[in-house]
This record gives sequence, C-alpha cells and structure tokens, in this order.
Amino acid sequence: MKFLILGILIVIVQFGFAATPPSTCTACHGAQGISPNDNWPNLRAQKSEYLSEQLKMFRSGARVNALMSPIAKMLTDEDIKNLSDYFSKMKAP
Amino acid sequence: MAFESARSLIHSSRTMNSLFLYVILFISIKGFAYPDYAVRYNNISCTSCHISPVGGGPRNVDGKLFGAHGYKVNSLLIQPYVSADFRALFYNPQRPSSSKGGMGIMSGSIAGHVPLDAEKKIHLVIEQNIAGFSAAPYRDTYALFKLSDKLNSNWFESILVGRFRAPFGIITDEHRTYTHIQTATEWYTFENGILLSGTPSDKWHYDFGVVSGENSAGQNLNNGGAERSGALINFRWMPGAILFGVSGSFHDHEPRTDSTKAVALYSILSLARWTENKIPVSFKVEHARAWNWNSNLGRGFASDPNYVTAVGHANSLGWLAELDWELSEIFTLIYKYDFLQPDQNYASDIYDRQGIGFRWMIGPNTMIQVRTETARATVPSEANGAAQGAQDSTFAVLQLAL
Repeated sequence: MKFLILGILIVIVQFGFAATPPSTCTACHGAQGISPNDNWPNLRAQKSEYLSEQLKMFRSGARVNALMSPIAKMLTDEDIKNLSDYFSKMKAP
Repeated sequence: MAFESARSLIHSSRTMNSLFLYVILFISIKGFAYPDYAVRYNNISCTSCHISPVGGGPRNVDGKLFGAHGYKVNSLLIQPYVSADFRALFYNPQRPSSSKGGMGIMSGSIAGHVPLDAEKKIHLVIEQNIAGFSAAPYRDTYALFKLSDKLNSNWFESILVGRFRAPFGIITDEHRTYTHIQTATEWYTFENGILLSGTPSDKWHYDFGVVSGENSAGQNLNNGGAERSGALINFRWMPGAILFGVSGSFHDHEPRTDSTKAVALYSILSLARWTENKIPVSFKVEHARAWNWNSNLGRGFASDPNYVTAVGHANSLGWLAELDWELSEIFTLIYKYDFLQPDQNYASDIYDRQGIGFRWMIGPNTMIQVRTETARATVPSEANGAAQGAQDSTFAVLQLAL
C-alpha cells in the first residue's frame, strides 16, 4: 500500500514539477546543445547541412564512432532533418 | 523511429528545484542499473564504454565521459590509463548486529589499463581491491587481444585471458541480486580462464568462456564453489527497443554428481527508446535456475548453516525484476524485486524482497544511491535471522568512479 501511495506521489511530482525527461542527444551534447566536455562537439547553432551530412555518415558507416554510430542507425531521414534544423536554429552561445 | 518534433529530444535541466522534494519523499532508497543504456542507445557492445566485453569494471574514455552525466568534468580525470571505484555504505537493517549495520567503506578498487602495442590490439588490465569487504587481491585482471577494429560486425571481436567477471545474466553493479547469489555470479565473483567474444552485427553479441574452475569471491584466487574446469556462454539479441538474452554455466566437480550448472533467461525493455523519450522508463527481468550451487548461500546470505547444508545440492529458482524511471539526466527512481526458491521440491521455502529507491548523480561519475526494502524469508529457521535476505532494511551508497 505504501508503495502505491509513493507511486501516486511520484506521478504528481513528475508531471507537476519536474523537467521534461532526458533525451538521446542531450546525454552527451548537453541540455542546450553545449557539450560539457572538450571531447564531444557542441551542436547548438551548428550548420544544418553539416549536421545532416555527419549523421548520415554515421548511419551509413562512412564515419565510425562507438557511441554515435549505433544511435544514428536509429534515425530516419526525417529525424535527421528535424534534428539538424532544430540545432541549427538555436542561437549561438 | 520518427521524431514528431526535434524539440521533444531536447531536455531542459530544471530538475534541481524539485530534487529536494524527491529526497524528502524517498530518503530511504537505492538502486543500480546500466545495461539498459545498451538498449536505449542501440549499442549492444559493452566495449563502447567498458574495456571488458563482459561490461562492468574499468571504463574507457567514452565511458567516463558518458558517466559524467552532463556535468563538466576535470580533463585530468578523463584519461585512458587508470580507473577506480569507491563506495561508502550506510546500512540500517531491521535487526542490526555488531557486524551488520552502520556506516563504512563498502568497497574500493583501482585499475591500471594500457594498450601494449601501437595499434592498440593488446590491452593489459590489472584491477586491485584496496578496501571494503572485497579487500583482497584482484578483480578484472587480464590481457585482452582485439581481433578486429570493426564496429559491431565481428564474429571474433576479442580474446580475453585472465581473471574476469562471468558474462551471466543481467550485468549490473548491484553486488548481490538473488539470481546472482543463486548462480555464484555476484558482482565480486570472478572466473579465471579464456573468453572469446563477438558482435557479428549491431543486433547480437555472444561470449564464450572456458574457465579453470577457480571461481572466487574476490577474497583470494582459489576460494569458491567450483573445483575443476568449466564453461560459460552468454548470448544476447537486440532487435529494437528490447533485448533478449540467455546465459549458461557449467563447472565440473568431483564427484560428477556435484557438478554445478546454471541457466538464465533475461530481457531488457527500453520504453524511452520505444516511445521516443516520452516515457523515460526501462524494465529488466531475469529468470535463473541453478543446480548444486546452493553452497553459495553460505557466503553471507543465509544465516542458518544447517539449512544451507540441507539444500546444498538442490535445484533452485530465482527471479529479478527492476523498473527504472529517469526523471531527469541525473535522477532515476527505481523499483526492484528479488525472488529465490532454494529448493524447487519445497516451493513454500522462499526468500523475496522488494524495494524502492533512487539514483542521484550529484557530480561527474559521483552518485548517491538509496533504497528501502521489505524482505521475507519463509524458512522457519531463517525467518528471524540476521541475514540481509531475512529482514527489512534501508541503505545508502555513495559511489565515486574514475
């Protein structure tokens, strides 16, 4: 019973106060497209065509990275366009 | 996968304001879980973050950066040569004793790992226990020969020679799930031998090991249930947002009727991947059966030695289920359930426990894990025992990994 009550409280807290859930891109490239370390690139305000090209290269295997390649394989052409447009339209830091 | 909006992929970090409330609500909880990342990020190979193909243990640079969970990290700590893991434990059981309860160092280890050749085909790893209950010689200590540099398209990816954790069931860094106690594949238990691993495609992976039988608990190199040669096999298949796995182990004993066997079936579902991050939840379930492994219950689990002897050669059955709900990049709520039936001929004699907790990344590679759980042991001589599996408890772990 106490778990049920806690569960209800969690739902209330999640939808009432918490942030949106974590995402696939932001785990490495930062919540606002700014990477927290020097090894991984910022995506914020990057050129759309460049981002599209890199994602398609990761997806095809023309460019290989142990973390990015498997993620890119989940993306459709539409996903890649949406992501590239989104990050390119963010204001530069 | 079709993203309706790229914005749905982007996350803001307004969570800190509500974390204090979470802590107040769930002050008595804890949890672990990382293999769900493999499913969520479509990465079936553990070597993306870890050096060992089994997963766990020392990490590579990408693993350390990923483990920073968005925190800015000191670049001096992100290097490919040294890893470390320290855990402090606060444990408050229902029936504390002079040796169970209170606060202390749970474990500590430090590892050195270097490629020996310019092409980085040969890696040497030595991980030393230096503190806590596993304060004795070696953890992951091996030479790893990489047979190919291709990513996720290798029938023969690597050969590992040395001391390694068993590729069995769901690998987490929780040190004693019931299914792993049941099969002697706990977090601190290692095998010595040769392990061949392969990832023929990004959908499946296998490990096959031939071991010496010196399965040991970290306290020394020859203490353990197995006495002679053995073999391990692990196979996992990830067709999409779900992963299926099967593991088996066999250790030969004298007499042969005492040989130990174990099998596990497991699955991990990432609702986060399936729903494009709308439901940031993952679910893990594992079912294990073991034969002749119950002497392992005597290693600090059961409190009645007569009971351990009585079921020593019985066939056991176990379950593990865990649900992880990522409320943010750094805060995850966890529900976990364990079940162990040491002897299938006496189905009413069981241990089970369930708990709710959280994992809170308070800094780069630094986390607090808390859990409160209720436990039950129905064997009369165990029901009021001092074993952790027989009493409710609350515990917290502070973990720092480098």
